[in-house]
Amino acid sequence: MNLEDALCLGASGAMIGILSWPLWRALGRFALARAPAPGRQALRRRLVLGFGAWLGLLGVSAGSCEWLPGPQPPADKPRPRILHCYHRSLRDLRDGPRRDLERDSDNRRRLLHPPAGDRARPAQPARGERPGPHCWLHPRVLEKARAQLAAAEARARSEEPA
Amino acid sequence: MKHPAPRVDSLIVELTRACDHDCLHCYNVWKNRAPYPPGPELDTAGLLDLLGRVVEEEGLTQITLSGGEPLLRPDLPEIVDWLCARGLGVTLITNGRRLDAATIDRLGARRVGVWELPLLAVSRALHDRLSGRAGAFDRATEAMVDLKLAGATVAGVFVMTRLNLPELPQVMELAKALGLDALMLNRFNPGGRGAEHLELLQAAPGELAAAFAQAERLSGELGLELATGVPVPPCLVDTTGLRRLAFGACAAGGERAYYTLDPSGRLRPCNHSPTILADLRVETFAAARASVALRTFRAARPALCDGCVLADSCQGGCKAAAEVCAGALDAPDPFLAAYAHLRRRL
Repeated sequence: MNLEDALCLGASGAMIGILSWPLWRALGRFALARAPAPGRQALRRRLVLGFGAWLGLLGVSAGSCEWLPGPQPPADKPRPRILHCYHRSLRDLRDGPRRDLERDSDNRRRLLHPPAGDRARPAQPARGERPGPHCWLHPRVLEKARAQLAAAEARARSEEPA
Repeated sequence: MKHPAPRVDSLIVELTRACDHDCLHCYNVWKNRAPYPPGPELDTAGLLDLLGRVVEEEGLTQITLSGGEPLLRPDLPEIVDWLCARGLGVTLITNGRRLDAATIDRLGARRVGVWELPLLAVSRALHDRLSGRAGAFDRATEAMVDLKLAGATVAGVFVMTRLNLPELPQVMELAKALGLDALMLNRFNPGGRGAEHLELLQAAPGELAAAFAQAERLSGELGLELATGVPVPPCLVDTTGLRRLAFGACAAGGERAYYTLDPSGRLRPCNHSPTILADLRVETFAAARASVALRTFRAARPALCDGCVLADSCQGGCKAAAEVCAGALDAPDPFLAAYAHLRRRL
């Protein structure tokens, strides 16, 4: 049981106690001295009302426990975001404000073209070396990627305000 | 008092068990050592009828199509047509082998909201080895370029294993060069066939932490969006300094849960778990959300986490992986179990 659960249960217990106080008094009277018939009627009424109130509070308590947040870590501790789902985060990517990735072509141009003077396409790069995607991709795919970049750049230029 | 789990707006649909790759890290539940109950795959009419009922019942707005390999279903275009006609968002997870320009055109590059394809290495041999099929790298990268040429939103998926972690910086450069919209960094999460390769593939916490830090830096330099999908226990990997990467915990049973419909119409808490909550051919989604099996799944916590201030939110990592590898939901996530001695006190 966490702190919130304990507080919920404690508070609901106190409220039940306060609200059903007349019932306990009546029960006490009943135990000490036989109540007259009208008194027994009132007792029955209070019994039903008290039981109803107890059930209601139990419901409120359980409901509020469900909605309360779990224990929070101290501010300097890591806080994993609960209920994160990558499919959702990618959906946000699509539905959110359109990012400017396609216009960010400088990096792509640098990566898709070998540095000046390095015209030869080396074989598979050795581990740890980072000669660039131009030597990892199949030549056909590389050409397509360059064409796609050129198309994206042309589109970006055409969308620029005059 | 027991409450049913909340409604969700998103569902993963495994269209088929068939796949033309044989990934070392594959988590498909029908590849688990413990047998997953067999069953006939729903035909087009059966699937759409079931989906229609579930979409209406739950108010779903987003469907993720997965498998197996969804492109092996000849009726995939019909399924996508049906989903789009109802205004549902569609994400398609595919290995890309069968994605050529004509198929992309038929499916509609922009009608599928997000395409998720693997980008596991820049070394052709390593990507192909992890995929279990020669030619996988060339096919996946070409499909990515074809999709971008058609104007699609494409995310690469990098499964972080001990084998390919050294290539992560180059993979990020390649993702940028290909014009991908995001790269997902999913730590290897054993299940299915992947559980057989735990020793080979599972990276150490230090290796993962270094890779995340490197990815964070490069992400800023390259302007490449990153996403993560597999929980990383914060007691093993400190992610507090990372600003461009968001980490989450198990969503099962919550309002952002990704319930998974198997090819036979049975519902599970997520795509990694073999627990069947309900057979939606004859039961309702609400029955699954109120099931004892789901309550048990949600409540499970490894004893290892007793006393941890983050136990309720972190939940000890991936319970489905614990379920598959250790046979119990409240066993520690295999990553946590392997490196329990390295835990930080939180």
